[in-house]
Amino acid sequence: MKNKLLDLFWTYLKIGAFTFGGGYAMISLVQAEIVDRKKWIDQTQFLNMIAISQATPGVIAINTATFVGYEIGGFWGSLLATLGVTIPSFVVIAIISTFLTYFLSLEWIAYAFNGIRAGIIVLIFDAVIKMRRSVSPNAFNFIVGAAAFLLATFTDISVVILILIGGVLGIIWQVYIVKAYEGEKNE
Amino acid sequence: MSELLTLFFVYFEIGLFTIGGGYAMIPLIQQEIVNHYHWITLQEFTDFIAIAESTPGPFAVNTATFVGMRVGGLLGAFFAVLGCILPSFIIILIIAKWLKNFQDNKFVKGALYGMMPVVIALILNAVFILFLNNVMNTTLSDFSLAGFDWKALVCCGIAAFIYYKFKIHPILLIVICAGLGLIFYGLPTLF
Repeated sequence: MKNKLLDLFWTYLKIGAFTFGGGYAMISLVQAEIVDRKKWIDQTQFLNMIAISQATPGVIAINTATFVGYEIGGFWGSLLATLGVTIPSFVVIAIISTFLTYFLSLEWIAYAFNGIRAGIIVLIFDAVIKMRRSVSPNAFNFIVGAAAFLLATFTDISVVILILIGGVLGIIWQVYIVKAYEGEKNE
Repeated sequence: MSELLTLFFVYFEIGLFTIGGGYAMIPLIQQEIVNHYHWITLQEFTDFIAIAESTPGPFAVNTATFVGMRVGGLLGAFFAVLGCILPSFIIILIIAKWLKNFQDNKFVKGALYGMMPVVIALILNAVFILFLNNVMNTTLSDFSLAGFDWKALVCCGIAAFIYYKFKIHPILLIVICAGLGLIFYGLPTLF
């Protein structure tokens, strides 16, 4: 058991050190290492964990690491997997940020970052478009989305409050008005 | 010490309300870290996003480490990252132990259904604010066209064209945009 925990930690350390782009990019690496190679969990279990991790608040990469770790080694497994996936980021960024202020004060680096900021705007906008495609284009989503955009732009209402209101409206709409989940298995 | 605790709780809130992937943090960070506590500027945050995208590891942990380092050095980074990952850790432990059918519950499904359009709208709003800040050099509450930077707009246009036309990796897009920045902002200073 102890060896398995160490192995889990080491595997997640590698995953943390070699994935770019966070939770979604990590899925294929976790699949290759933990499902296909080490066979610690099977494919169905893994897909179920991904579904839950996406449907829960929190950082998706951390959610899946905690979940996979718990299945393999209980509490200590979840702790070691989470630490493993976090430590490489922490170390790399801590080192970079020590030099960053100096680095950004260099004239030509600052010029480069003027261009990079334009690229970041494009990347985030693209993420919005991709997320938009993942929700169905119906009146509820359009009205709630438009209202949230206007409220976020023109008022000081907190982001958290807006998300919570969305959650309440979603329950009212899906559960009580369109009864979308009738006939499904519910807990 | 109190600032470290504040950092921890602010990041705990950010981690808790990150729904649907790392970019969902951006509006929360803009609201709390940039506008409320003034720990970093919007421009610094945009630069952090660029570096977080081009370094390994979860985007959320990368940006938390950056902000934490800026506010309180290594200890600050530790508290920010701890705050950011703790909600995930606690919620998933509870689900893994007792609530395996969590995502089949109709109230959970309904709440997520309603949160998604809000999260998407909030990220769109965040990118709108970044656009105003970087291209127009203005804010909505104090709007003016005086700071309009046509070079930034051209860089955005070229970046969007290359990204959609050639479907390149985000890191390659960042490298290309660095080149655009050097050409549009650096080159003219030589003449």
